[in-house]
Formats: sequence, structure tokens, C-alpha cells
Amino acid sequence: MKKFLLKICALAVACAALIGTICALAGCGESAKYKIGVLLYNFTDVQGQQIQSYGDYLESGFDVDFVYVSVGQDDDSHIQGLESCINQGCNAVFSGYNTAIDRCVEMCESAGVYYGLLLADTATSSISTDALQSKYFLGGVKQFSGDPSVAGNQFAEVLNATDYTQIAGISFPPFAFIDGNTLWNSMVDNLNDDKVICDANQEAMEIPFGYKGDYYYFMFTSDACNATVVQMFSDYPDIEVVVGMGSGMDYVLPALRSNGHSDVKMISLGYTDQVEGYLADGTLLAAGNNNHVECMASLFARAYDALESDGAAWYSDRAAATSEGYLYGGSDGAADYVILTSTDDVADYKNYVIGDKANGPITIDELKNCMLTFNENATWADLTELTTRMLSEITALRAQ
Amino acid sequence: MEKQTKIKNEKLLKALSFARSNKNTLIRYGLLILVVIVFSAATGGRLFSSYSISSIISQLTPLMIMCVGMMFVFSHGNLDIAEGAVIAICALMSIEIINALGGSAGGIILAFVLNVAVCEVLYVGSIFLSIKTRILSTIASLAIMFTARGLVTFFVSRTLGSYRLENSSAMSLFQETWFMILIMVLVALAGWFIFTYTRIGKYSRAIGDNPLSAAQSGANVNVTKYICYAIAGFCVALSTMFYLSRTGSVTQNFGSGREMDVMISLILGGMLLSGGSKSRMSAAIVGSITYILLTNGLSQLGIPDMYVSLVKGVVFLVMIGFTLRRQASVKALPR
Amino acid sequence: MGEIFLETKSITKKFGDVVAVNNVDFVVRLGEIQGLIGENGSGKSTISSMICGIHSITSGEIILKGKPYRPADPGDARSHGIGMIVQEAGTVDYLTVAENIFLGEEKRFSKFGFLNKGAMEEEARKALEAIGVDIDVTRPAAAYNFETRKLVEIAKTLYYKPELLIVDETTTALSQDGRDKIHEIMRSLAAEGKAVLFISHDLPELMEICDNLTVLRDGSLIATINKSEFDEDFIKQKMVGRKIEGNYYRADFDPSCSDEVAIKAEGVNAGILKDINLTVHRGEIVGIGGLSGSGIHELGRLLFGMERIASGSVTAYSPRRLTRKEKRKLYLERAKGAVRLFRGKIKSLFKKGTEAEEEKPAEQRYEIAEYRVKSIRDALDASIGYISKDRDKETLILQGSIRDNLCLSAINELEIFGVVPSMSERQFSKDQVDEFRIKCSSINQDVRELSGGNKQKVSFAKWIGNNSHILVFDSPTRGVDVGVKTTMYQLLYDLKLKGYAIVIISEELSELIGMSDRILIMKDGGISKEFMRSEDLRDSDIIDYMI
Repeated sequence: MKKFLLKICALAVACAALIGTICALAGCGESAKYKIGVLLYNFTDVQGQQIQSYGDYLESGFDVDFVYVSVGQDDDSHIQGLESCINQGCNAVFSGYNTAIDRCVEMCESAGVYYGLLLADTATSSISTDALQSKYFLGGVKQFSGDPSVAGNQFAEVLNATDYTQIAGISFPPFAFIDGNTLWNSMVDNLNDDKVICDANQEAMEIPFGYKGDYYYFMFTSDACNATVVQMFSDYPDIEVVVGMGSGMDYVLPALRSNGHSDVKMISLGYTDQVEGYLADGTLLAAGNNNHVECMASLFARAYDALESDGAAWYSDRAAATSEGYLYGGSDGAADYVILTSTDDVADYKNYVIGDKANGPITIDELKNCMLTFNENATWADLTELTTRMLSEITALRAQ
Repeated sequence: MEKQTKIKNEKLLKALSFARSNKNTLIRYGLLILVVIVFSAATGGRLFSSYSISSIISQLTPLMIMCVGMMFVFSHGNLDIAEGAVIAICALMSIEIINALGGSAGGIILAFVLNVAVCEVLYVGSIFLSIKTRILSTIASLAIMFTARGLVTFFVSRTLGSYRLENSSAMSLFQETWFMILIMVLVALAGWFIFTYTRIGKYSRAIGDNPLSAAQSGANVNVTKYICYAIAGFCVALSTMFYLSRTGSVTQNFGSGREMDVMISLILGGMLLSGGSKSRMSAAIVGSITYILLTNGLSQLGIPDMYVSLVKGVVFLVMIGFTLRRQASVKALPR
Repeated sequence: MGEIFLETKSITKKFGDVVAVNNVDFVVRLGEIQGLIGENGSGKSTISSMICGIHSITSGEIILKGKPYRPADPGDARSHGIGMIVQEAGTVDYLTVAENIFLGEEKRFSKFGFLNKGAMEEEARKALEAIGVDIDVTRPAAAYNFETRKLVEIAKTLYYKPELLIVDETTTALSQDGRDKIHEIMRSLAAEGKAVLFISHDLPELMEICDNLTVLRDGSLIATINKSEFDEDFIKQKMVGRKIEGNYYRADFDPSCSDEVAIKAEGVNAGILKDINLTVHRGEIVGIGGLSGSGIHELGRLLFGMERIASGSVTAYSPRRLTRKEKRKLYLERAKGAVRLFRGKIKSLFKKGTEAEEEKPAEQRYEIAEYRVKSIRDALDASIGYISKDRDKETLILQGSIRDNLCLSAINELEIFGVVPSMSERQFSKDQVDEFRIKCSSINQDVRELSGGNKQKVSFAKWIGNNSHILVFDSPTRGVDVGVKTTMYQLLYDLKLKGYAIVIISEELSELIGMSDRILIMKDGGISKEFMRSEDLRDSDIIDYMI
């Protein structure tokens, strides 16, 4: 009996603790004019933190509040995340991914909430015309400034400048990272003749991906990555450079290290704090990362204008979405992809992209200047130019 | 005076022994009430705004249907972990069919019928495998989970990352609140009735406790298991329709994690994972409601997903600790 | 008389509503063996559990050497010099004998976190030597038989040199050898001036060993009797609260029964069973006797369709299966009955006391059909009921309520078009509980909470309640005390008179001789001899055919 009482007490205490934590976590604050929800898998990595910190910066210059909702990777969790945003009274929702996009736009439409893709674009998503043309769909953000082959070129240049010849690529499956296919193909095309691609000899998937079967790919987990790295080196023991397109820093590099290939050089898509050290010791030839600040700025400008004008604001030079194939030039904004090839680049990146946003890629004033709410004459081209600033340009602007 | 305290004590003792013998029931409804109170207070009533209610219903419908079906499996101590992957493969198939038939009602019906067929094959097949080869049913369902998930990934990887309904309004009926409530109530009632008042439910519970004496009391253990898995399969097929109508598309992660939702829901409903005589259908019904309110409440409070998982994990552990059948309590009774 | 070691002063233990022990006073003296006897559920084990700290005391107190004593747990009791050996197996199969003996006490042998196995095994050997047992302590407990494991437990208990040793029903599961060994240990402890509390429901054994005997009934102390006044009949009477004749079996010696065959086995070979020929008539009690390995239990399983038959056949004669039409009629009849019941309930809410005796529709008799019994389902179709020797594991669902247990096998009797109404279930369970006088707090009480005798009553009720006409009972009075035994025997006899065909399988010859119309003795899987009921039949006549 005593034990039972004890148990009840324990439960009561646990509940009290739970309630306490919930209340503490929930907090209460003044609410702003607009509330914008951001859906991401997590907010703990560089990407999540960058998006969050630029969100905080935007809150200081606009009458908005951001709420950050982390969602699971399955479709239903994504919908639940959106439902949660709508429930919390969000006026616009920025989703990191194109998961269940049609349904999400439909839900937003019926709730009168604007919806945009923060890290994905419509050109490489499968999306219905209805959703695309919806008043409440803000569009997406093209990464790599809209042209991944530029980054591919840059990587080819980096490789051409070295004596390494045996080059292998590893990535997520072709469908998961479509820009990666373009990037890779352009890199391969621009390599000098002495370079050899260690061909994975996979089945090609030309349409709609443009995958020629030449790079290795794995199914999203670090275990799968490890296994693929092992496969890669058993096929080609002499690989000198690995181009890690599928989370180079998080998956590929650790897999190389754990399999004893620490002398192999890498080009990595993805950024962590370790990039600086590896660039310094020569392990990394180059690393790159999306400019998340520019992604946020691009989508935010559209969202805020839409909210202020009830969806009426439209840049005069922005094409309207039509129903012709995947070439909806007007629906996506663009953001630059930062490529780092030296420790100096890393320093600049840390100072002017990751660092204080008031001295970062896009300041509030610069952004306002490209928004119709604050500047009637703003154009889509201006905005795109603003959100595709390269690291060198940003550094030049801010370093004074 | 002394007498009065004695009476008081006796009353207290009586209340305690009542609480003890109805522990699972108390947990079931107590948690529901607790969750309702805590979260309606913490969200300032937002949890029960009309939008929230409708989204809760749309989340609840497929979960409850699945929980009701799984109750039949869990009651004889079997654990199924393939739901998520099976849902995904069914949803994928449904999309193909519905698209091929241009989103017509016929296509939806056909898709549903085929879903049922696939689920029956998978579920009855898994228990058949388990009975014939004497492997644990959980292992059989693990095999099904991997196979189904593998197939889904294979097919999805041939497209732009997702299969989607071309006619997005084709399945809008399944998102009508009245329809969801209707089906949910029908399934819950049917499940409750079958589980409580017919042979199948009675035998299932007996099998969960003691298959030997169940068999000696007239239960055909294997047939009962087949029927229960068939019921579970039907419910999974039905809930697929609701999940699919919610998302309108299938990516490779579609449905993953649903099996955990079912398990936690049942546990929140005071269900013992070992099954047995104390299993009640109300555990599935009330448990799924509690679970959905809990997750919605937490996410509306803006608590990050990983903390939500943490809370789920803690709840899971605490509940298992509470509902665990203590061997010691057998001894603590008069001999 | 020795010095008082322990004294209880009106101790009481309640489990919820149930009073298990009610104001019991008794004393245990050093140098004496104190016996505690009572029926199952009379509270003897509860008392010992309280002394050992397994149960808390609801009220009253225990005085240990003149000081109040309230053990928190068995470890606490041990440090007060009290050790207990329990009925159930207390060893862990996969641990070695030595590890078992020092389970939870490994600290004694560990230095800097490392276990000194050698020292532990040495101590274990000493502990076993002290009671004259010589076995390999490094082998797992599972390598030894039940008796040896029991001795290991005793060695474990005695290692701590208890001043009071409590032996709780330990001997019932042991062979004569094992019993002798434990008796010897108890006697030598008493001779050393230690106290022993011996709990059992085996009266002759207690009378032989104990210096004093305390009799409990329904949780209350009935009498404490000194060795000089021991009288078996008197004590039995005290235990059950009514007069019991020296012989509680049926009194008649009339082996007559109906000519109608209820079940027969013809030339069956199955597993260890060889060429079994057996016929049981209606109204006949057939006893099956033999050693445990002789195939008697398998024969019981055979009749219930649980043995795979290699050749020969088992045939039962029971009312034929109903046609669909008859079933529908039956269901309608039941539905009407249910409605009547419901109406009666509603009425009794408003008017109290005027419950009209409702007439039950006359039971329809169907012609007898032949059933081949090859599986449990066939057996159930042929209305055969079976209680396994291992009642708790096979016949009952311990975690289930009385109602769950009773209704599970009676679904055929209760269902109306595939549905079993709760109301009918409740009524049915209540009827059975009343009929068999099952002692319980309600029909929703879990069966595991019942005493052994009441559990067995539930097993009986389960099969008789569902109209089984052929009953196969394997060791029906195992683990059941005198009082319940008497009831059981009376019941079996009544069933015989009502025309049931009954097969009793038992290792107790006296029971078979006392109850059967015919006794079949088995040896090496075959039936070696048949005896008819007779006044002159003695154990000694039979034993030759068993061994």
C-alpha cells in the first residue's frame, strides 16, 4: 500500500515537473503584427541556427514574430507541423522542404496563410499547377543562384589546379539532390583531360534527374554512407579525391576517416566548424554551403509584401506562374552558394555570413529597398541580385 | 473518536484497493483528463479552437483506426512494427491507381479494395510465417517492415522524390470532418463490440495470458490469431486512405514512426504490452485521443520536435513502469 | 518448556477487504518445533510472511525476545535471526549452486569490486556440508532436481544461523527421502535450542514432527494443542470447523453404472502409450493409477485429444451437433431469456424483494452421436472437460478474473448469434460461484488471488458449467486441503449420480480406492490391471501392478 502511495506521489511530482517545464518552455510575450512559422527537421545544425538567427534579426526590423517548428521526416509529421503553425496563428509558413507540397498549399489556402519553400524550388519539385498558381503560394528559393553548373565549374577549377587525377563522387540518391546532378555533370565536363572519374557504373537516370550513373550514392544514413565508401574503395583503391555531395562533412568525411582513408582529399558540400581546420591541413580542397541568410531574405521579402498587400503586391518584372512544364521562371527566388577554398574564405564567411547579421549579407535596409511595401519601384531583378550576392561581394561591402 | 478515524482509514483503504484493482482504467481516463486540463490551460484554450479541433480529428482518425485494429494483435501479446511501412506501400499503390483512373470514385474504391488485399496478404502472411516457422511475430513484422520500406524507397527514388495525387481533390471526402468522425466512430464501435462481446476478442485476451489454457478452453489459437491479424490488416488499409488524403503525396519516409504512435497510444490507454485479460478496447480509443492531444498540445506550445520525442519517450517509460504486471504482487496476496 | 523466542499479539493482516489473518496470538519457543496448520487460505502462510517481512502487519504486534519487532523486509528478518524456506522454488536456474546460496550477498566475497569465486564456492560447500549434502557447487542449479535445489535453499537459509527457522509447506513437493532429510534438520535445530515454525496442511506429518500445533481457520486462531493431546480426528475437525469422519471418501461400495458408453479408447498407441483399451460409462468413475512416468497423465491428455494418435481411436458418445435451424431456435430462446433477465433486473430496481422465480425452459435432449476425438476441438464438441495436473499453467488463466475463466469455455452455452452479453456472463458466473461456493470478493476477482482449493473449484465449475458430460480430472485434489477435498469428493460423487462419466487420474492410491468404481493401473505406458470397487481393496493389492 505504501508503495502504491509512493507511486502516486511520484506520478504527481512528475506531472508537476512536466507542467512546469512546459510552461517555462512555452513562455509568453507580446505578439507582433505577423507571425511566420518555419518548418525544418531541426534547428541545431548550422543551417537551422543561421535561419533562426536571421529570423531574429528580421524581427528587430519588421513587426513580425518567427516561430520555429521542427518536424519529423515523414509526410504526416510535416502536415502536423504545418497544422501546428496554423494553430499558433501563423500568417505565413516557410517550409524547408517540398514534402506534401500540394496538400500543404491547399491547407494554407483554406486557412488564409502564405506558404513558401525556403530551401527548395519549384523547378525540381513535383507540384501541381493549382498549388503553383495559388495566391497563397509564395514560391521557392533556387539554390546555387539558380545555376548549379557555376559551382560545378568552380569545383572543376579547384581540381584542375591540383595534381590529383583519380576522382570519385558520392551523394544522396539522384532524386534527393537534383541540383547535385547538374553540379556534378558540369564539374565533370570542365575537368582537364588527365583527370579520371572513378565511375560507379550505376544505372543512369537521365530523365528527369540527369544522373549518368557515374557517382556513388547512398540512402541518407551514415551507415549507408559508410557502406558505400567501403564499396567505392574496393572498386577503386587509388581514389585521390572524393567529392562529397551528400552531406560531405557530416557523413562522407567521417566515413573516410573511419575506413582509414585519411590521406584522401575531399571537396565537400556542407559546412561545419571543422571546415577551417581541414582546409588548413589540406584535407579539404574546397567546401561549400547554402547562404541561408539569402534564402530567408528572398522568401521573407515576398511573404511580407504579400501580407501587407493581401497578396496583391507583385513585382512588375516577375513572371506569373503558368502551366507550362517545369519552367516557372517567376515563382522561385534565388540564393547564392558559398564556396570556400582557403582559410581566408572561412574567416570571411564567419565574419560576414555567420556572424552579426547587421553586418551580414543583407541588412534590413537593403532588403526593404527591394520590397514593394517600402519601395514601389523595387524589382524582382533587384531582389534576386541582392539575394545572390557572393561571399567576395559581401566581404567587399562590409569589410570597410 | 477512535472509531471515526478507523472508519476513515477503512474508507481510505477501500479507495486505495479500488484504485489498485482498477489501475489501468484510472490511468486511461486520468491521463486523458490530465492532458486536457494541462494543455488547455497552457495553450490558453487554443488547443480547442475550431481549426485545432479539425486538425486533431484529421490526425486522430487514422491513428485511432489503426489502434483499434492493433488492439487485436497486441492483446495476444504480439507486437507489430510494420504499420508505417505497410501504410507507405499501400499509399503508393493507391496513388498509382487513383491517378490512373483520373481520381474517380471508382479508382478510390478500387484502391481501397487493393489496399485491403495487400494488407491482408502482408498481415495474415506475417502471422502465418510466425506460426509455421515459430519465429517471433515481431521478427516477422520486422521483415515485412524492411521489405515494404525498401520497395517504397525503390519506387520513390525513380521519381522527383515523391508520388503525388494528380487530382488533389480526389480524396477530399476523406478530409471531411463529418466523414472522418463517422468512420472513426464506426470503427471504434465495431472494434469495441467484437473485442468485448465475441469469441475473437475473448479468445485473444485469453491467449495473451495463457495460450495453453485458452486452447484447452476451446480457443483455436492459430485461427484466432489469423482473424485478429486480418482485422488489423483491414484497419491499416483503411487508415492508409486517411493518411494519404492528408498528405496527398508519398515520399520515401511516408508513414515512418506510425508504429511507435500506435504503441504509445495503447500504452497511454493503460494497455499492457503483454496483452491478456486486462486488455480493453477503450485503451485504444482513449489512448489515441490522449496521444494526439498530447502531441498537438506540445507542438502548439512551440516545444521543439526533439523535446516532443523526449517527452514521448519519458511517458512511454513511466507508463510501462506503471502498467507492468508485477510478479511480486502475486505473492502479496493471501494464500 | 523453552524460552519464548517470538510471540504474536493479536496480529491482523488485511488485503483490501479480505481479512487474511485476524487477531492471532501464538508463541514460538526455543528448542521446540511449533506447527501451524490450517486449510488453504486459512492464513498460515500470511502469518509466516509477516514474520519474515514479506508482508507488512496491518495491526497488532510481534514481540521478539521481549522487544517489539517489525521487519521491513526479509533481509531485516534475517538479521534478527529468522530464516524461511518457502513452498515455491527459490533458486535461479542458470546461476551456480554457490551463486544461488549467496545471491544478493556477493559483497561478502568481493574485494575492490572483484568477486572472489573460490572463496564463495568454499563457503557454499561448507554450508551444504552442514546439512549433509555433497554436490558440485559450481554447476548451475538447473542441473539438479527439485529436491536437491530445495536442499540448496535450506543450506542457504541455515548458513545465516537463524534462531528461528520457518518451513512453509516445503515438504509437500518432496519425496519421502527429501522429507526425512528436512525433518532431521528441523529436529537437530530444535535439539540445538533453536526454534522451528513448521507450516503445512499435511496433518500426519505435523503430528509426527511438532511439539505444539496451532490450528488456524479462516484467518483466526482456533486452538493450540500440545503433543500429548494430539488426536487426528479432533484436529481435522478443528481445521474445517465441522466433524469429519476418518474416511471422507464416498461411503457406498456399489460400482454399478449405466450401460451407455461415454468414451472409449480402442487399441490406441500414442507417444509412450501402448495399446490402450478403455471404456468409461455414464455414471461411472474410473480411476487411473500408476507412477508418474507410467503414462497416466498422457492417458488423460489422450482422452482430451491432446496426444497425437499413431494407431487406434478414441471415440466419445455425446449429444449430436445442432443443425443451423436448431441453433437459431436456441439463440432465440436465449435471447428471450436474456430479455427476461434484463426486465427482472429493471423491476428489482424499483421493487425490492419480489423476485419471481422464473421458469427455465426444459432442456432439450438430443440423440447421441459418435465423435472421433483427435483434437481438443473434437473433445470440446463431444463435451469432454479436462483439468490438467498443472492446473495453474494449463487449465486456468491466473491473470484473468473468475468470470473470464468461467465464461471462456462456456461461450457455446452463452452466445446469442455470436455475441456473448455481459449480463448473461455475469449471471452465469454468479451462479457457478454460488453453486461451488467459491470464496471470492466478487466474480471480477483475479483467479491468481484465490487459494489453491478455490482455484480448483473454479476449474471444476468451468467444465461442469459448460455442460461437459465426460470429465477427465488429472490429480484433482493436488495442492488442495482436507476441507476442500471433502467437498470435491462429494461433488464427484454427485456428478456420478447425475450420470456424468468421470475419469480421475491420481498418484494417490487411497483417493482412487476411495472414489472409483473401477481402477485401472498403468505401467510403462500400458494398462496393467483393472480392479473393481470393493470394500476389501487395499493399497498393497495394487502396488505390485504399478512397479
